[in-house]
Amino acid sequence: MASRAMLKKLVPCTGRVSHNVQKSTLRAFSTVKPSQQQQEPIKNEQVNPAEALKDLVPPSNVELKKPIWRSVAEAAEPITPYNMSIGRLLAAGLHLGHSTSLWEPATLPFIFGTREGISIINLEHTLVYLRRACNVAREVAYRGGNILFVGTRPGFQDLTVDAARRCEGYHVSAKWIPGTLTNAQQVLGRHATPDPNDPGRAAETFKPDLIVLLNPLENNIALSEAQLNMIPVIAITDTDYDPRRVTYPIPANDDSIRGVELVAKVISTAAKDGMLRRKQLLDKKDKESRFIRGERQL
Amino acid sequence: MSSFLLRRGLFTSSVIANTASKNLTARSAVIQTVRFASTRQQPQQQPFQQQQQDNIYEVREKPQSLSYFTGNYKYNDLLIELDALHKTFADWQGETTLGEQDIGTPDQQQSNAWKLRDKMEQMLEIPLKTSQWRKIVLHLNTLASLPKPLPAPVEEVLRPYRRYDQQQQTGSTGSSSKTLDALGRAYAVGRRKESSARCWVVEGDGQVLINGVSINDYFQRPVDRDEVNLPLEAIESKDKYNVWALVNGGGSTGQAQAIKLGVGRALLTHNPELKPILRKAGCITRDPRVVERKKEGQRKARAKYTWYVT
Repeated sequence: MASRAMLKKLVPCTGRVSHNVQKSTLRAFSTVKPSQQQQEPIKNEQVNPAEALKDLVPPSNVELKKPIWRSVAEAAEPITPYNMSIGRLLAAGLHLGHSTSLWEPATLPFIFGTREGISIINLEHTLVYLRRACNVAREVAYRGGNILFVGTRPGFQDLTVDAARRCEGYHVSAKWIPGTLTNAQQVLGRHATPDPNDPGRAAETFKPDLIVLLNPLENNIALSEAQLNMIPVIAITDTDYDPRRVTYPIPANDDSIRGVELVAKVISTAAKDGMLRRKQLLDKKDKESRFIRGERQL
Repeated sequence: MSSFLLRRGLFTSSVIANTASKNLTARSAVIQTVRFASTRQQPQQQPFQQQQQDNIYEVREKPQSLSYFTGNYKYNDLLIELDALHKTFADWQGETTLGEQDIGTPDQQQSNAWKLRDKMEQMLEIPLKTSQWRKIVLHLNTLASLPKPLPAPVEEVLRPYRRYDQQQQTGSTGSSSKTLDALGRAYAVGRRKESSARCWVVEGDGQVLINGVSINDYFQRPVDRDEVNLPLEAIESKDKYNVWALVNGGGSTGQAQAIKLGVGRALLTHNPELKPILRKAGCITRDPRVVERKKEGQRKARAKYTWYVT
């Protein structure tokens, strides 16, 4: 590999590379040995394969690769939308789709191929759609919107709550009660504390401005309620789910808990970013208005 | 359009005017009924882009709880809190040394008496269904099954959920109104069927007198004698207590078992810690069985008249 010293030599003020430098760099980059270098002829004796491959085996003091179940929780690199790469998605198992016999043909654009009877999701698309979803979450949070994380599978409870807590959003990690949005007065309003000044009045209910669905396959009711209320939905759509049903699909594996944890963490980090920027914006506006008032008083 | 139709004479001007005005009202109705995700009333005359720019600085009211959209959010928050507490102390090792290990009385070992559903509802001020109460109890049990002694924050959290909290505190100081009298006698009443026995148990050398007569003269059957001696034999103090019993009503078996119950209760006054032993021996429970009444249309309580085919 070329060293920095070598590279510096390649930028002289004349703009031309000197002949000697050219030769040395060529020697470094070229796989073909130049004829000036006399290589020793290969001996005819038996080459021990263990000896030959010794350099490929890592030394024993090096840490073994972390198992998948810890790869997200104890990641050395922070999990933000700016640090996402296909390698990290692969490590979390997000490329593993469902069996080819159960596939949804509408997911064809997102499928890289099939192997061992399952469809493999093209992670290039996953990355792009994940970044788009992060942008949506960031902008909604920047404008002060409520973000609701819905993950109702038994293993998703902790990660949904964590994601919600991180960006000051909301979560549904047990059952989605039908009518949460369409019958909010009865489902949500009955638990609200009545106003002390006006006890007879119906309680005010709230709706989310963005829903992040981590398992849309089991949450048809949540999806249709969101559609009725014109709430955009981000969802992890696997190869057995039609991605056109949600507003912002993320084609990825919805079965792997670590994979879903990664996606939820990334989206909630983006939302937190937006939330903090909004706080800065409001702070700035507040300071400006106080400054202006101060001037007026003088 | 309207002038053309007028010239053709197909519609009168009033009809055309009506249809035109209807279209206008329909359009304005459409603008008014556009709904946005938030429940806030939007100003109706501004175009959409203008609305977006104006509202970015607006601070809307938001629900306070993280679990607002789960419905019963207080219940959900409680479960999350208990879960988080368990996670914090998941690696807790009890701090008892070998010598001082107190396993506790058999009552305390496995059974945690938690408040029942209605009392817990009251205490928490959260409406609870039975399935929800059961889930809370599950979480409480996992917390309580950490190695003893429990960490202080866990104990503090669990205390308001325990049943009989005040009674346990006062019970240990001995507020049960049964005490020995001035002469060291414990008095108790036992009943079985139609018999009732008044028993006085005092520390002595093992005499048993029933209606002023020794036990062997009063009860001829060994079965009845064994019943009377059962409580003292269960605690292996046959020669440490004297029993004076006055019994009336019923027959021999009823009287014997009534005395057994009375003596058992009197012994509890002497020493309350004997309760599990006496309970195992069967001297604590009042046998509720009595003669069943005869019913009309039947020969006896259960026996029916013979059914004839005629």
